[in-house]
Amino acid sequence: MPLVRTSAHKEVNYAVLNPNGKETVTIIHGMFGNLSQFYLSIGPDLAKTYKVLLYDLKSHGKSSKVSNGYDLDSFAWDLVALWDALGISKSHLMGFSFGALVAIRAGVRYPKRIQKITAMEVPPLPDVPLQKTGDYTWDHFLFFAHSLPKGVIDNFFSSERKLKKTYAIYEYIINQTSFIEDNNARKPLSEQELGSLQIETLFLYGNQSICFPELARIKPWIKHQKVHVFNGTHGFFMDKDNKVAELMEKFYGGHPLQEEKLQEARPL
Amino acid sequence: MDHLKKETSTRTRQEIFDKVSTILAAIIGEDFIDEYEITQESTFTGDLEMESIELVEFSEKLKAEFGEEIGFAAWLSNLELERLVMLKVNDVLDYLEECL
Repeated sequence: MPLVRTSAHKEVNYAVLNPNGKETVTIIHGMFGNLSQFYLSIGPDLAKTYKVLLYDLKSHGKSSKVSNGYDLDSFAWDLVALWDALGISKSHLMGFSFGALVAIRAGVRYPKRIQKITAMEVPPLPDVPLQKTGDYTWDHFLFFAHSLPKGVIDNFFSSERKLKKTYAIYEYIINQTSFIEDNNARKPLSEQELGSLQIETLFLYGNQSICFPELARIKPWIKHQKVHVFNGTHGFFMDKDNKVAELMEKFYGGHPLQEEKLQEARPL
Repeated sequence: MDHLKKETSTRTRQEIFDKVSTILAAIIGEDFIDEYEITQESTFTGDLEMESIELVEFSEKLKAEFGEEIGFAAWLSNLELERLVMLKVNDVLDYLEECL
C-alpha cells in the first residue's frame, strides 16, 4: 500500500478504491483500528459510486509512529494535510467512533474542504480519566480485545503473533505518546460544537452499542442533521443486512432518507 | 489494460499460485517467511497468521499485479466474516482464474 509524506507528520499509509469515482469519500477508522476496518467491510460498496480514500491514523496500522498530537484538532489537521498531499480539494467524510469525532472537528474547522459527513458511533467520554503506565497492561488489552465482535475476536486470538503485534501498537500509543494527556483534556461533544457544524451530517448508531447512550445526550442538539439507528453493536456496519453503504450513498447523493424514531437502547 | 488482460489470461493456475506466493512471502517478510509454508491449502488468518491490514496489503498488491478490474477488494468485503477468517489460498486462486 502506498505511503505518502504529509506536512503534518511522517508517512501516512493509505489505500484508494475506484480512483476514477467522481466524488471522494474519505474514511477515518476508530482508535486502535486501522484502514482494514472499512476496506474489508463497506468501503468497496461505497466504491461502486465514489472514489474511496482510506488511511491509517498516526501510529496506527502502517502509518509512522508519532509521539504527540492526539487531540482532535491535530487529527483534523492531519487529514487536511493528507488531502493536500494527494491533491484532493474536497471530499465527503465518514468517521467511525473516535474517527467520527475527528470528522466533526474537521467539519467545524475546514468546512470548505468537506461536502457531507457520516458520523458513525460518536463515542462518549470515558467514565474515568485515562492513566498512563501501569494501568494498560496485557490484561487490560485482553479486556479491550474481548469487547470486539465475536468474529473479530476469533480472528484476533487465533495467533499470538497477531495479538502481540496489535498489543505493541496499543502499548506504544498509551504509554509512549501524548494520547492520554490529549484525551483527558478533551471535552465531550458539545451543543456549541454541533451548533457550529454547518456541514450536512448523518449520525449512525447501533442500538446495542456501548456508544448508543451518547446519542440520547447529543440528540437534543441535532437540529438540522439526520440520525439513523441500526440493530446491532458497535460493529453494526459489518452486518451486510444493515445495508449501511446503501444508506450512506443515498445521503451523499442527496436522496431523501427516511427519518427514524430514536430507538431504545437494548442490552447486549 | 487489454495488453495486461491478454497477458494474464494465458497464466496457468500454477503460474498464478507462484505469483500469489511471491506476494504473500513479501508481505510476511523475510524475517518470518521460514516459519510458514505457503500452499494452496493454507488459510490466510490461520496458517499464515495474517492480520486484517496484511489482507488489505495483499489485496492492493493483487490489484497492482492483475489490474483494478479484478475487483478483489469488493469480493473480499462481500465474504461473511466466518468465511474471511477461513479463507484459503485456493479460494483466491479460484477467484482469480474466474476473473482472468
